[in-house]
Formats: sequence, structure tokens, C-alpha cells
Amino acid sequence: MRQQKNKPLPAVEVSPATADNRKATSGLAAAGNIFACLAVGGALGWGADWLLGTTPWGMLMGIMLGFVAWLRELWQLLQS
Amino acid sequence: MAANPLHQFEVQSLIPLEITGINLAITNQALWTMLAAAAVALFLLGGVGRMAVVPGRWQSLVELTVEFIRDLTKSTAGHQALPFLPLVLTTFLFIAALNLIGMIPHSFTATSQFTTTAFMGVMVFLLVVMVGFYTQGLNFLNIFLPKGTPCWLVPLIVPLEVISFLARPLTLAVRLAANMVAGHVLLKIFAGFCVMLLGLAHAEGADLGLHSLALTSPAALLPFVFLVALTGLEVFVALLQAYVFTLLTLVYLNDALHGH
Repeated sequence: MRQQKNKPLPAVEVSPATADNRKATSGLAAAGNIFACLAVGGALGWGADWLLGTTPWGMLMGIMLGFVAWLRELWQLLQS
Repeated sequence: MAANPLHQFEVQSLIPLEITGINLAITNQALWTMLAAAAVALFLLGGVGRMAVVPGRWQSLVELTVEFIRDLTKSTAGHQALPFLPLVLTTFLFIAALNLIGMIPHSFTATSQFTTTAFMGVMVFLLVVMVGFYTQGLNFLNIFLPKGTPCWLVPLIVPLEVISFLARPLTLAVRLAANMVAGHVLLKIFAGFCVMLLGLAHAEGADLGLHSLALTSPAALLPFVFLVALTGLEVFVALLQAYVFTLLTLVYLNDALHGH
């Protein structure tokens, strides 16, 4: 690991079986995801509100961004 | 009858303990977590206690499990991830043990508690962040910016990626806890149906003679069949969720080691 510091290691060769496996798991993963994305987006927005005093716009924006983030993950999953 | 299907998830203090105002009581959650840890240790030590060239059944099972997780690690996150094999193996065995022990009647499913799963999720998340910065330095931040993003999309994509990344531990924790809660609630409800239908048959039987007892008690058979099938499914889900948690840990570790 030492010589290649600060550089990502070369990507792993993924066999078709592993790829399928990973896809199936990501599918399972996506189900619980919307709650987490909305919560994280909302929390980040709430934090921004707290710092900037823009209640409630930051949280609303955050929740919307969280939703879009979830849609994007779903989209990437469907495309793979 | 205690028919509340959520009663089984109540955390109760078994041995009250308070040190400098902090509640450190041994709860049923802590007790069953310790039992699961002991079960994992017993499983592994029992397997490798008397190592033989021609392995016995127990040793074979341990060897098969370890090899399965090792191959999974290698194929998902590369051989560079093998130093993390002890962690990955522990994650898998510990979650599997917690889930499976939860299937024993009158036990407590620690993985149904968000605190247990959230702790594991956050630990995996912190590990991934540390490994990422250790191997890639500041290049690790590139995972927030996928290759080939058009310039004008950057202000939008980066917050989305940050949210997706921060949602990881929460997703891990919520999925495991939700699956365990849902499964156990379902089991309890079907068991409740079974008992209620038998009780109904019994009450009717007392009023109208044995005739209607023979008529209504077979109705209790249907939820019973479901219950047996669901129990089998739950054992499968217990192992599957341990596998999913482990595989996602490896996928995140792969991001940390090899970039997005």
C-alpha cells in the first residue's frame, strides 16, 4: 500500500458472477435507501439553517436534494 | 394474552447499574448481544480447537465459512482488502449469530434495535473513510465527483453524492433493523391468529358441543402452516441480511481502496 500512496489502487477485475451478485445486493439495498437519503438531506439542510438562520428553506432544500439523490441512485442501479 | 406484537422489542433492564449518573444497566439487549458474541467465539474455537488434516464436521463448517468470506472479499474488493478479512468475517458471523439467536423463542433479537445496527453501520462508515484517506489521500474526495461530469452539473452532483455517501451508514442500519422487526412482527401476528382461532373454537365448542370444535379448529391450521413457512423464511432472511451487510461493507471498502 505504501508505494501507491495517494493514488487509488488499480480496480478489481470483476467476474460476471460477482457483478450479478453485486447488482442483486444493490437492488436489496435500494429499498431502505429513501428514508436514509431524505433523513441525511434534511439533517444537512437543518444544519445549514442553524448556521445561516434561513429556517426553513435549508431543510426543505435538503429534503428535496435527498430525494433527488435517491432517484439518482435508483437510476444508476437500473442502468447497470 | 400478551398479543402485542411489538412487546418483544422492549428493552428491559435486567441488572440495574449506574456509574456517575450514567445508566449502564445490563439490559436484555446487552445480554443477548454478549451471548451472540460468545456463540461466535465458541463456533470458531470449537472448530479450530483440535485441528486435523482431515477435518471433522465442525472444522469443515468453520473452514467453509472462512473460505466463503475470504473469496467474497477477494472478488469484491480485491486482494488488497484481505487485511480486513478479520473485520469482515466478524461482521458476518456476529450479525448472523444475532439474527439466528433472535429466532429462538423467548430470546431477544438485538439486531431489531436501531442502536445495535446503527453502531455497526457507523463503525463501518468510519473505517471506510479512514481507509479511503489513508490509501488515496485527498484523492479520496474524488468519489464525490464521478468521472465525466459536465462542468455545469458539478454544483448539483457534488451535494447529491455527499448525501448518498452520508446516507450509507443509515441505510445499512435501517435495512437490518427493519428486516428483523418486520419478520418478527409477522411471526408474532400469525402465531396470534393461530391461538385466537383455537380459542374461538374452544369457546364455541363449550357452547355448542364438540360438533363445532371439529368444525372451527381446522381453521387454525392455515395460519399454523403459514407460521411454519415464515419461520423457515426468517432463518433465510437472518443469513441473507448478514450477507447483505457484509457485501455492502466490502463494496464500500472497494470504493475506499480503488476509487469509485
